[in-house]
Amino acid sequence: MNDDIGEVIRKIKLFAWGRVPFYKRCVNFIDIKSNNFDEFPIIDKKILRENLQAFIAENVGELVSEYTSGSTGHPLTLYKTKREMMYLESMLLRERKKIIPDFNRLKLIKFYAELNSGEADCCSDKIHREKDVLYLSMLHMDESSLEEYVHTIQSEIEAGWMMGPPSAIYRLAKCVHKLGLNCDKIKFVELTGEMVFDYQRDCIKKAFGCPVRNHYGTREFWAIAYECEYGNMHIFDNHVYVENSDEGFIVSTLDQRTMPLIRYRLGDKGEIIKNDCKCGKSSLVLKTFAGRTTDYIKTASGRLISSIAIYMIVVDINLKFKDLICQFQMIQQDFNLFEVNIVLNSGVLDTEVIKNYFVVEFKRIIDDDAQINFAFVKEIQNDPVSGKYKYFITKLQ
Amino acid sequence: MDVSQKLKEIIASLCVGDVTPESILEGSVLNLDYGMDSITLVNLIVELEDAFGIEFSDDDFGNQDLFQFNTLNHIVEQKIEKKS
Repeated sequence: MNDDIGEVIRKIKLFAWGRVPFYKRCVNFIDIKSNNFDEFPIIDKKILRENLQAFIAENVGELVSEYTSGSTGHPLTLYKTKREMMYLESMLLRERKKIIPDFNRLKLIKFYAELNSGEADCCSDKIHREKDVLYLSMLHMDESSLEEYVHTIQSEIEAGWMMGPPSAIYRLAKCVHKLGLNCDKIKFVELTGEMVFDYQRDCIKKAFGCPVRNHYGTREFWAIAYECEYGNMHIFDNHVYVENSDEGFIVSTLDQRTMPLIRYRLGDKGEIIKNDCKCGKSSLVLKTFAGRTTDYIKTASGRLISSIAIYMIVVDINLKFKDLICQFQMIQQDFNLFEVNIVLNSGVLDTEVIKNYFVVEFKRIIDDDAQINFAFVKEIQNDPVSGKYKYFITKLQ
Repeated sequence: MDVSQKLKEIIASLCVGDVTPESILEGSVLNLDYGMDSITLVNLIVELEDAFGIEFSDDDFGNQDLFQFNTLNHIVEQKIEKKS
C-alpha cells in the first residue's frame, strides 16, 4: 500500500460524502483520520440497482454506460467517464508492458460475445477483423471453428497477444495441441473473467509457449488485481481498497469519481495475504477460492456455444426495453430443450414481448429447432450444493 | 533533456501514417491533427512514464486538454521538475 493511502482514502471519502447523493443520505459522519471506510455501509449489487442514480456523483462529465457481467444474473448499468476509462486502461497497460516491453506492437486477439454492436456481431461474424484487433466469436467454439481460428492466427498474425476467458482460450490451446502446431505468434496471454484452473493454465502455456497472466476484475472497478511472474495476484492498491469478510471480498474505489462504490461486496470468496513477493511488489495479494466459470451450450448439430450468449441476449433485451429483466437463469434439459426462468422488474406486465424477442434471438444465434419454456418467477435461488448462482445450467453430460 | 523533442518522437512512433517528429507542431491537437484516439493516448502516457521515469495520476487524466501537445509537454516538464 502506498505511503499516502490515508490521504487518498480521506479524499475519496470526502468526495463521496459531498457529491454522491446515496452517501450524503446514508453516511452520518466522516472520520478523516482513519485509514479505512468503516463509517460507510456495506453495499451490494441489489442496493446499487435500487439506488442507481443516487450513486452517480453530481456534476460529473459526459457519462459512458456499460453493463456488468452476468455472474449474478442481474444485468446492471454502470457509469464512467471516458477519462476514467482511459486511466483504468493505463493501469493494465503498465502491467502488460512490464511483461512485454514492446507491447504496443502486438496485435490483440480477443474472444468476443457482443451481439448487434457496431460492425461486429459474433453470431454472424465468426472472425471479425479490425485494424488492431482480431475478434474470435465465442458463439462458435466447435472443433472446426477452433481449427479455423488457429489457422487464421498462424496466417494473419505476425505477433499478437490474446485476451479472453480461460475456458475459451483453453479450448483453443487444446486445438493447437491436437493439430500439432508450433503456435509461436502469440507472445502473451491474459486470462480474465473466470476462475483459472491449473490444467487450463498448463495447457495454454504449452500451446503458446509465452507468459500467461491472470487479471482479476469486475465491470464495477475494472482491474482489481493482476498476476505477477510468481503467480501472485497483486491488488492495484492505488486504485482499490479490499477488505475480506465471511461473505467475500468488499471493495472500495480510491480513484473513481463518477460512480464511487465504497464497501461494495463482490461475492467472490478468498484470502488477502501480505507477503514479500519476489517480484518486488509490496501490495497485498488476493487468493480466490472460487469464482465464475462458463458452461457451454451444446446443440444437436454439434455446435458448441459459450453460455455468455444467453447473457448477451438478456442485455440486448434490457437495452431495447429499458431494463425489463431483473434476473434470469437458463437450464438446458436436452439438446434442443431449454427452460428459462425470469425475474421481472416491478411494473412489467407484458411478458409476451420478452418471450418473443428472446425466442427470435435464441433461434437466430443458437439453435433454430430449440424449444424454450418460460417461467416468470419471483426469485432465483443459488444452487443449494455449491451456494453459487449460475445463469446457465446444463443437464447434458 | 529536451522534453519537447522526446515527446514528438514518442508521439510519432505511436501515430499511423506519415507522422514524423519533425512534422509535429507545438500547439497541435493530437486527436484532431494526427488522428490519435483515446487508446493511443493511453499508450502515449504509459510510454512517457517509461521514458521520463514519471507517473500520471488519475487527476492528470481528468485534464480536459490532454490531447493538446503544449498541455502534455507542460505536465511532463512539471513532473520531471517535481521528481528532481
